[in-house]
Amino acid sequence: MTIKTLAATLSLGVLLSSCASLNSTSLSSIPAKRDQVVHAEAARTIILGFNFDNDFVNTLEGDLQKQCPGGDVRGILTKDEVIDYFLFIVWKRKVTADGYCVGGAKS
Amino acid sequence: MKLFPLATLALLAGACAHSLHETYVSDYGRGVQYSKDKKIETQTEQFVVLGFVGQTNYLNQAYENLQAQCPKGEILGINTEYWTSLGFLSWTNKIRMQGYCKQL
Amino acid sequence: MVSYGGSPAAVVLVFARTGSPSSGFLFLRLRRSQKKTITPIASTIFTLDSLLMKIAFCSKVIAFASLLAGCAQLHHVQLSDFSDRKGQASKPIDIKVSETGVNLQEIADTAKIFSRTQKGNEQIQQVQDMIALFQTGPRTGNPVYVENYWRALPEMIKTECPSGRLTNIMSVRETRKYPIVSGEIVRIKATCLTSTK
Repeated sequence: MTIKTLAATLSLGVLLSSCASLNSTSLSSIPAKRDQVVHAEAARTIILGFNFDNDFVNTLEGDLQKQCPGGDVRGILTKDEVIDYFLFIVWKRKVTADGYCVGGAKS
Repeated sequence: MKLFPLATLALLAGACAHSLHETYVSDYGRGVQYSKDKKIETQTEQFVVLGFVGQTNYLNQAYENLQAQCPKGEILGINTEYWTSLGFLSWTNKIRMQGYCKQL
Repeated sequence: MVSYGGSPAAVVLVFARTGSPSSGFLFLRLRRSQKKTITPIASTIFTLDSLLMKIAFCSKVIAFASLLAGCAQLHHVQLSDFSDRKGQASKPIDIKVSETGVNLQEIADTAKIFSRTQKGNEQIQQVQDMIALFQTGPRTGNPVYVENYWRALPEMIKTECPSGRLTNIMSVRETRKYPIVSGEIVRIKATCLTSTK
């Protein structure tokens, strides 16, 4: 492999790779009964910073509730992260919530 | 300017700097009995060079480690700390979780 | 033409502290002093010179006051479950830990002001650039040189609320910014349930 090919491959790899970074996190108290895992995720891809609201996160609460009808979701770990893509001009804002359903019937 | 004193000064002023991003104290539920409930804690890290890292699994790892220390109990009063230790063209993200295990 | 009986303008600075000592408000009030020997028509006319002098003077006072005041910058605020337990005795707790953060860029900028030569400025910039290489990474506020200064928080909560029954917990991460340095602060506010009535 010539140096040119190696440099081109490396550059392409850097351009196409994604970089993840954690923005914020929180964790509520974890229940003793942890057999019903619930998970919800909301994400938005943003190009050149054009983003006019953050309403995409509003679906998280409903998603968790749906997975635990009649029960409580506890031990919720929320993760707000940014994943940078191509040349840092496109990135994804992703919020995930993991927890446990207590006293409900998992759907 | 000579390189050696410059590098020494940079090392002295630049090394061992940290940035706290956030701390979060969870709810205490039914209450913690400090004399009875066991204090548990875990810390996970992620070393990053120039930002090239594709995941943030160290957070989930801390979440799992904390639960592993209290397999049959409830974990209350969890204090979550997230900070970064800055370094030379690289840094270390750190998560520390501390809570109290209430055995049922 | 406006003529003043005494000094051109007396500046009164009033620092009004509201709430906690860290949340300050700065009011700037300009008071024209003493007797004014002016006619009704002339009172509306200001010469450009005197106006510019006043603006310059005000700017200096504001700049000086802002150096002393410090700006509060909120990074994160998070709440836990809230409840209104009326039947129980409780006490509010407010815990704060802080550490001095250092802004090396501002140190370099300040040093450049006092540097007399172009070469001196360049050397300062070189040092600053090299230090920046050793402090790469994501930041919230200014970097501190003490790791884990926040580590005492759980113990402080335990001391403040030995009953271990806390509710309405608010976690705040903030910065109080001064020139060159800053206070990197973590604050926990909560209600400690002490006993049942």
